[in-house]
Amino acid sequence: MTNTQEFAPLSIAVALPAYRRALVERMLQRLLQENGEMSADWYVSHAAEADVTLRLPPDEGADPSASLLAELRRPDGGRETLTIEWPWRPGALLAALQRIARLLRSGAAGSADARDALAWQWLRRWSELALEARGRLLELRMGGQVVALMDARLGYWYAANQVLPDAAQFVTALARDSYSIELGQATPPPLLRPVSIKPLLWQLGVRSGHYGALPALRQRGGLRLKGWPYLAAGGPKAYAELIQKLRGGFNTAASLRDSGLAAAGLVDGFLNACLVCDFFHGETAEPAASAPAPVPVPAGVFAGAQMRPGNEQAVIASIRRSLHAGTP
Amino acid sequence: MSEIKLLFAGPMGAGKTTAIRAISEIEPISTEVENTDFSESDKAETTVAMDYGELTLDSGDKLRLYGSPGQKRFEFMWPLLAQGALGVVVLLDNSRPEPLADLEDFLSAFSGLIEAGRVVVAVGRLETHPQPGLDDYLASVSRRGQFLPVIGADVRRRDDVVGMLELLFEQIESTASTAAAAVAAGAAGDDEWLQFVQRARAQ
Repeated sequence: MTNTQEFAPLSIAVALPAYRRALVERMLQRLLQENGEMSADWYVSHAAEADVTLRLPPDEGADPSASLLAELRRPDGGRETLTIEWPWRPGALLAALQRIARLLRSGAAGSADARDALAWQWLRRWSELALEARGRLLELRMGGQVVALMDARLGYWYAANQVLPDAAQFVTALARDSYSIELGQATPPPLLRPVSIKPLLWQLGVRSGHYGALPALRQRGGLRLKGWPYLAAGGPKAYAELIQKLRGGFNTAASLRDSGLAAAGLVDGFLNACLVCDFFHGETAEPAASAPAPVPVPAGVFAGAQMRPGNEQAVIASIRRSLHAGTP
Repeated sequence: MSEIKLLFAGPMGAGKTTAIRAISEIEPISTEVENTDFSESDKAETTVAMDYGELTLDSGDKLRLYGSPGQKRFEFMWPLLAQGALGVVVLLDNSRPEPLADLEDFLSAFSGLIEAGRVVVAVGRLETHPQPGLDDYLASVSRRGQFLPVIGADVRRRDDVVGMLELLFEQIESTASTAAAAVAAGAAGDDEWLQFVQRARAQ
């Protein structure tokens, strides 16, 4: 289970003259010892780049009762300064630390970087469970409630609210409420209409790229596109080049990053999106040249063609062989 | 022995004759005449009816390669020539004054085939004329609610022409396998995913 509420503890450093620094550090350590919840949230650090640094306000160095300034370093790199009034009173310091923790936590959940990280974590879980599902649905819980059932094989989403959320809404909700994805029942709920989840998966995949390729992608020996990832339509120009390369033969995430076609984050996002939307061939070696077995297809799909689908597969295979036989 | 047909379409000067020559086993039969329509292209000769090339497949079948006339006044012929074709490759020339308008013309002409996943677009001369970029083409396609591959290509290179055809074939196979998966799942009538794809293609 991945719980987005499980944040790493925050670090706090004290940058005060030596005589006051020792005092404030002792106060902090006592507060953390006496308040069990706080001790999981905070630790005192001497690092120059702590999440929070306590300082004296300018021109108040001589006043032993002066307020303290808390310099906050947000996860997105932004900085903010708060004033802690009456810091020598344990209650005031405790309240200030709680307020700062809330600020930094909500900032972490709200920043674009954190949301992208959340998208990556969610897709990692999705892709792990998709391999294990074997016909079972995945159960998405948020805030302790089952909010949707998902069919990883067919790419369906079953929820009481039959409108698929967009990625921004979805990740915001993940950040706000704790979530989990687990294997669930095998049969779809009879009263819920399936909705394709692939547009959501694609958007999450694209935004997850700054956090690297998904582990399921790295485990594959080679990547080759099947068909055309039409959800890429309208995307950056580099997508067209990546598609061309991924259709030309087997590639790896590392080789595509090294190719210089696009920034690593864009390449990984594209690959993550293709992976979770099932746009890659399943096999990881060069596929055999023989034609795949004919498959039954609704007649309407072939509105533009003269040939029967089975014949068509054979014809395409024959054209491929003939074209490649003519290669100098 | 049966006959299979592929159509190369596109405006004047986009390279349809060159593309056919790249894969035809015979010298393309062209109806090239002196170009008197310099409002559309400044090339000296152009195709007034169609180009024709062919390739004998290892199955003994003939692959017939047709190039449509590029002039807009022959627009009515484009869908007619595409009837019964396995697929259509639309070649566009980025050095023309309004290549995105050309794209619109061909998307309209082949909308039925696009819906069936049988059209790819290849844009030439991107190296010398980088604007509009491929993303602008894709945006135009998306605005119409259509989905089809758009790639850059140099039809003077045989590999590029073979690549365009490979793209077309994979698109055809992908459409077929998507539909087949729905049939296999026993949900052809109310398969949401297939409906989504078909709706998007048809919009």
